[in-house]
Amino acid sequence: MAVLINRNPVGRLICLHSLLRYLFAQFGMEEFTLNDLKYDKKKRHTITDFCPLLLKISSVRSRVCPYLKTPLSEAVCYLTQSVEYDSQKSKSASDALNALDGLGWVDRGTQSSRITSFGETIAAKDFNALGDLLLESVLSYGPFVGFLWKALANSRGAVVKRGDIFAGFPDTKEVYEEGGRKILLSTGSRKDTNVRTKSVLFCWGLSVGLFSPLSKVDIASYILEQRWTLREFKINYSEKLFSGLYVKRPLEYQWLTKSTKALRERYQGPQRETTLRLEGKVQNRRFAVVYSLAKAAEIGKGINYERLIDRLQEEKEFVINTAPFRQVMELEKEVAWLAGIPFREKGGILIPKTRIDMKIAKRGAPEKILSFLDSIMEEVILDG
Amino acid sequence: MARVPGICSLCKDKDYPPCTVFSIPTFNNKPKYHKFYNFLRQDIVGEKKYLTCEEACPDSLILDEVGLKLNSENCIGVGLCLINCPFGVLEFNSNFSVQQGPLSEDERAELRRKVGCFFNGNPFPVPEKIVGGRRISLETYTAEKETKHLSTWAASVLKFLSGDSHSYVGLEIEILRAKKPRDGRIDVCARSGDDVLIVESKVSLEKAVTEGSFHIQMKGYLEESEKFISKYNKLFDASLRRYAILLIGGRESDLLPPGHKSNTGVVGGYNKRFYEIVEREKIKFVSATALWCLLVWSVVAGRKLHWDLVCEDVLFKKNVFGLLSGGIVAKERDKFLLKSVTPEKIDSIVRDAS
Repeated sequence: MAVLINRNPVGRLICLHSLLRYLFAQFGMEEFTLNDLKYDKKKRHTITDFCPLLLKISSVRSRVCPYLKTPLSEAVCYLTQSVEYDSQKSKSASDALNALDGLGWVDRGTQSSRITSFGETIAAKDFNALGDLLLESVLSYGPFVGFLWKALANSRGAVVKRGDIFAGFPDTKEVYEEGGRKILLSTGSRKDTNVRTKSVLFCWGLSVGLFSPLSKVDIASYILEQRWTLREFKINYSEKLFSGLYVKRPLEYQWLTKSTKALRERYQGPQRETTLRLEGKVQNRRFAVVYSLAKAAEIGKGINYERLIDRLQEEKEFVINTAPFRQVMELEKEVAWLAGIPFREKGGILIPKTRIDMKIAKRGAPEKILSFLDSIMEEVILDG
Repeated sequence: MARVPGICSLCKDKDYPPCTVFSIPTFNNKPKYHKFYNFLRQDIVGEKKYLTCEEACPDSLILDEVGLKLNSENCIGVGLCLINCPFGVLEFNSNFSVQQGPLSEDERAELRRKVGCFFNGNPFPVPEKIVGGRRISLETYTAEKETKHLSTWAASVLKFLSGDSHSYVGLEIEILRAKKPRDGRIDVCARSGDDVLIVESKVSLEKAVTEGSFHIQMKGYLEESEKFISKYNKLFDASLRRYAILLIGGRESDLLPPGHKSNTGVVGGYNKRFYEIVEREKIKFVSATALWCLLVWSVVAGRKLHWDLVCEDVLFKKNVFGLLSGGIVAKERDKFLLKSVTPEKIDSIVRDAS
């Protein structure tokens, strides 16, 4: 499964590499669970056996993770926390696992996960010896590919500003009316999530040389800092990067919306409930965009977006409010780049710039939605 | 046992010698926002470990096979190692660095002379060191990382300065704030006998004033804590009483009364605004330097200035607003003044070290 990552620790690829090495030492190619990622002193191997970043504290016999709030925290590992102390309730471990999956190093399942053969290759090497394998890894991840596209599109003179990119789900600001009440649906990513996702993806980009700082900053040291403060980056790639690019880990169907369950209780009960209830329709319409583009990309063509909207509007599985549907879909098409299939728009035609792994993308999509979309592809796809 | 100067081998086989690591209990947070009540009930669910001096004075304590080496050159006298050593082998020297004792008579006399200047009406300059090209002192230490430095240090010091042998402290104690339910967190709580202390920490005067919310936070904490204390008193037939202070780290001279010749808080109008708020909202404040003076005085004298008695007999008196290293900040004839705390007054509140 490919999920949008949004916690800062996964920005350090070296930490993810240490985690992979621990997983490989402990489990080999066998299955492991989410809880197995967390530091557990009872296990034969732990991530601390493989982490090159641990600091030695002079006054105690300890080496500790330099990113923990307090050095002797029982969390032990900032990336995954520990089985004894997880103040983040497995969110850290989950995001780390999502990142490993996004890089193609691990196949994350619902109950258990497994290292891939690509992951095995990665685990066998020292981090500094990964070279192009690291670039291949990050270019597997759909949101990262889309992020690169957005950075290029928003750059001026090969320089992009952090603030010029929004790295999250589109906020359609839809209001759903029910029983005389108007409820604003929560479909878009929050500002803090956007900031965190961008921070991570910029770090990945710096790590593989796709971005570089404008000032004389040592990249390796910068990534290892507690906070990432650079606001502007030089872009070291062009549109050629996307030509022929095959994204192995696009966002899949059920992860085309944010985790609505995570909506806090602060007076958001009705919003949360309604959004959850209508989530399927949001997923359906976003998936329609991704699927259409992916199908078009397979045969080197584009899609007529107006025609797609016309057809979707006729089906209740895609529509929440009839009236603003067209405006909503204009915003929703942004999800395509987040999924890993950015596009160029020309006179209402969307021309995809990458291809994606359809098997991954359509995981979890309802059969009837797939059937419907297949039935309209012929009228929607046309020459770009 | 013969002592090798600068080396203590009493805990050399420990991974965490007590002078290098201390623990603060963590309290039950269920039901939601009831951690303060659970603090009163001492409903402890675990503990967190903190390093004593690693953050404050880098490489001042080094543990190896021989033992613990104290590098007084780097020590700024934060004192955490000293107060957590169960063997009492550590002392302040006359430069307020910690060393493995004993001091010579001359040095002890010099130390006592200096400590005698605490609270005498003049601000006391904390020791400064240059380490790694950086000027460090208690003020620079408490001027950053509110939770990691100031609050944690204060909690350990308050525990040391507690009169009751069953006293305890807590950090980041959640409490309901009616208008912002998820934002209520008392930085430091201390309990000694029937006295409860609530501490709101700020790393500097500037931060306190620019954030502009410390008085609102404290008001909220006072209101909510009062409900829990009343509930506790009724249920357990107790008579807890509560004090609340604003603890401010960083440069103490920013906190001197308006018009004081050494006041450095004039720029930006922070000092003026601070005193306006403090007077209007009747807030009691203590500088980190003053708290350090209480600690050092207690260690050197071998008798303790317990925080509960300092609150009762010194700080929470009419017209007294704050405690600094030079004494109390009181208002007389419409003017804030720094006034000494007399030796007699100190004698009246000091207790034998337990």
